[in-house]
Amino acid sequence: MRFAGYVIAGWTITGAVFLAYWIRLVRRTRRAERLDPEA
Amino acid sequence: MTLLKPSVGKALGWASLGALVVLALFGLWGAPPDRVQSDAQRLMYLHVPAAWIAYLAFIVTAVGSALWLWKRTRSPVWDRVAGASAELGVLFTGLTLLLGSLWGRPVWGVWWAWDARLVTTAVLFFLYLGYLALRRVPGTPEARARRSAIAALIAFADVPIVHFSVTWWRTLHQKATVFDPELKAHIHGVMAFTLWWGVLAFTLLYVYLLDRRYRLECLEEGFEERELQRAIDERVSGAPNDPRVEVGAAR
Amino acid sequence: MNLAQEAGLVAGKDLRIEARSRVTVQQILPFGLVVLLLFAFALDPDRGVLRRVAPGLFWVTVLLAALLAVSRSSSVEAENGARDGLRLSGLDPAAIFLGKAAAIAVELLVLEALLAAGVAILFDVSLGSIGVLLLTAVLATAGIAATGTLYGVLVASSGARETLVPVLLLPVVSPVLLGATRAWEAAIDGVPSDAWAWVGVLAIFAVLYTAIGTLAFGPLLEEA
Repeated sequence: MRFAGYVIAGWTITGAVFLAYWIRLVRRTRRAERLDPEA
Repeated sequence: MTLLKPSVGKALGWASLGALVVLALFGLWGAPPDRVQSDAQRLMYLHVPAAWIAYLAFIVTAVGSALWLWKRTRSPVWDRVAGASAELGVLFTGLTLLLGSLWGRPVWGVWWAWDARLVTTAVLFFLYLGYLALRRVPGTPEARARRSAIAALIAFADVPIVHFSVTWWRTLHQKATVFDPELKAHIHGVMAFTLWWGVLAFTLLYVYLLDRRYRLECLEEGFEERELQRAIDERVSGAPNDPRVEVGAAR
Repeated sequence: MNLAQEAGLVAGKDLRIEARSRVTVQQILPFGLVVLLLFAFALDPDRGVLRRVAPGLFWVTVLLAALLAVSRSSSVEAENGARDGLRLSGLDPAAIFLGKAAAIAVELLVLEALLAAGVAILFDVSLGSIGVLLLTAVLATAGIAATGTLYGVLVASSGARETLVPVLLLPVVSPVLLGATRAWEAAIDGVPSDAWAWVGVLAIFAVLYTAIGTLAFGPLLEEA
């Protein structure tokens, strides 16, 4: 693949960003649920 | 507490993941390399959907803000949706810029070009970054919702003006190029399908993340309010002329 | 009292405070001139570079000065509960907005006149087509003043730190920078008639944000 470096970099960074954001959401949600068991 | 039913939300999560995997298969392998750009084209399957979803997210923020400001539809739901969507918008905008840069380097030879669309995207990024900073300012949910809603509409009103003026500016200075980022005329067949699939996959992901972010907002807001109430109650129960204290002492 | 009279009252108050404290002339103007000097240090004073980019540098300097002017305008009410006084005064919030924005606009226009003289002298620019330059300046200033007043109160009444204003204001007024610079470039170095499209953009911006400010000021003022 030509320009493989850029292409792979782009796709992996995208995946990493999505994953990282999702993990952050999950962790914050779990923390919020723990600190404050909903009524 | 959530925008979607929990089962729907979960299913959507899996659906987005699946759609993204399929996108990767097509984007990295199934679609042929472009005649002009060769394999650099493959970044377009991420860059363009990211840009579109960013715009979608900011439209949702604007609509949510407007619905909150309008007394007849005012509800904390709209404020939370606006805030959650703006955060996703900034995420996708940042991604658009990054991917644009990675795409531009092999195709144009530079990491950044003062192309109308990229510049507008950069301004958009900062517009809503500021909005997010404003949302973090502490205050009552109502006050925060009001100022955020107004700020969102100020930003949103700016978008067409920025877009138009930047496009006009860059058109005047554009040298003869084949820099059409979307190269729509050359896209057909598998490439067109991959692009549209990308938009679909990103949309599914956006809705899923929006739902989750909304839920988090509800939890954190509720937590803040309960903490505030607890602090107030503690203050109150420590007051000298509190009848409860006297009753306790009398007993 | 009608809207114009109330706005005039508020503008008069702000301008009188300005006349007494002379912050614009004694602090903001020197700041602007120093920025112009710094641009000359940063860029090449020879070979006509400065002359070519002078309109852009001018308007960037104006924007930076506007940040100070906006900060000053919203801090005027921060002391002694003056904002509550304003709220309870019974004045139409739209008038308060228009008055404060007008005051900022006047201060900025004075600043711009002096900075333009500075640019003409320091960067060796001859200011032709004065009419176009003036119209551009008035419209650009109106847009900056309206948006600045809006964000000024938005940040001040929320209790957030003042440093939030620049990051909110500057992206929003970027089309004003763009339009004003292009219009001035056309008027000074290029074909003056090219400026009209940009003047149009500035006019739309000014009208739009004055309208938004007029509507939004009331609700924003309500907050503690």
